[in-house]
Amino acid sequence: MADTHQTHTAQPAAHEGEHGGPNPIQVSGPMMGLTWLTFGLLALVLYKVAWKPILTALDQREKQIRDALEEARLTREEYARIEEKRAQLIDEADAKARAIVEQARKAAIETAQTIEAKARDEANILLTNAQREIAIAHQKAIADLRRESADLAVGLSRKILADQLDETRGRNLVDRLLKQV
Amino acid sequence: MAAPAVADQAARNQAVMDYVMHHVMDSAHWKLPFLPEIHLPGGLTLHGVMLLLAGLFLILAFGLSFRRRDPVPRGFANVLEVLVKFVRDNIAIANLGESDGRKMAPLLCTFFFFILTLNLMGLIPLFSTATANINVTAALATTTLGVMIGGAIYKNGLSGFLHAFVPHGVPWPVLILLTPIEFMGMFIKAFALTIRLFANMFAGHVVIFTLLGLVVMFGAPAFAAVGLALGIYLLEILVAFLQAYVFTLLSAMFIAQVHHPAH
Repeated sequence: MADTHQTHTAQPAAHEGEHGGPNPIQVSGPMMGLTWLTFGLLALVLYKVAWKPILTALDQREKQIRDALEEARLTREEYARIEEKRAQLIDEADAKARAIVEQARKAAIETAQTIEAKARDEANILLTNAQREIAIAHQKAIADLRRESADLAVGLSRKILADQLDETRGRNLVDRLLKQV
Repeated sequence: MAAPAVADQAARNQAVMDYVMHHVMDSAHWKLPFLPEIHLPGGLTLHGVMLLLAGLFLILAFGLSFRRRDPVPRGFANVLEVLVKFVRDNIAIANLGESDGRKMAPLLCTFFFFILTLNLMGLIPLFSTATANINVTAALATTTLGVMIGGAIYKNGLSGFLHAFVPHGVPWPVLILLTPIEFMGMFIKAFALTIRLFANMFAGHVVIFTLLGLVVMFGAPAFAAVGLALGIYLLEILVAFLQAYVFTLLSAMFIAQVHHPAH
């Protein structure tokens, strides 16, 4: 530093080139020394204050972004896979539901047919029974009617006979009836 | 009548030249408005102050922006982060490969932001351009040279480092010529880094001040030059970024060439 001071005090002589003007390429050891010192210290301080944190942060951020992008890609793939599986499950469920409905329909038809057949059988049985009972009642009615008419005929004939029958006539009638029989 | 006018013009031109040089050269004073000129203490020069201010500014800017360990950066931190990521991916890893690139990224980031800040500070009135000082650019370039040599010896060993200057399958008479050229090439690269940054920043400011000086030299007709100066100023903003990028990129390329001599 003392040299610079000397240079300064001797400025008119030192700074003047051959043509009397100042010399822009005047070499100065202290100036170079000061530059080295400033640059060296600055490099050290900035390494601590700036370069290390900034470069580390940059690396970290780059890594984070790369990781995030990779994660997004994986998530997208995973989503696509899930979506595919979901569609598959829906298809399966659909098919299953269709099968169940189909089965239920068949069962219902079968049940209906069974019930119908059974009902028809029962109706047939009822009809047959009813016909049989009607026939029996018919027979019975005919028999009753016969008996009633016979009784009536007998009663009537008894009354007529009681009014008109005498011995001779009776004898003639018996004879005639016997002949007829 | 004519002679005094010519002498007057010459004096004015000389005054403008002195003014321009005074503004781009280093000095032991710092002139701020409404204040007496500050005499910098302890042999410190204006460019030295700029170096310290740039360092402080960067530490504060990064320290405050990344105070919270927030996983999502906000505001100015976003801008800084974009540039850091750019240096890491497009300069460090692109030239040095994945593993070495990540290791070198902090150094290259420091180069980029330090040079960028120094360049941009030169465009703010009252400040001065430290990167227009050849000692500053030389110190930065020798840092690159040190990393080239030190890193190559660390990675490939001393013999590996020296063997890189002797290309395979070249007849020995050619080697006598080629090996010194290869060896010198390493230093020439660093020298080129020094001159490139210095010359760009120095020349840019000389052009701006000279264009403004035209008004002093030629009076009212030269007012159009102010517009040109504004154009150059805007161009200088681009150059400030570009030269910081170029220095960092070439440093990365030179380091990669020495660290991986096979390429």
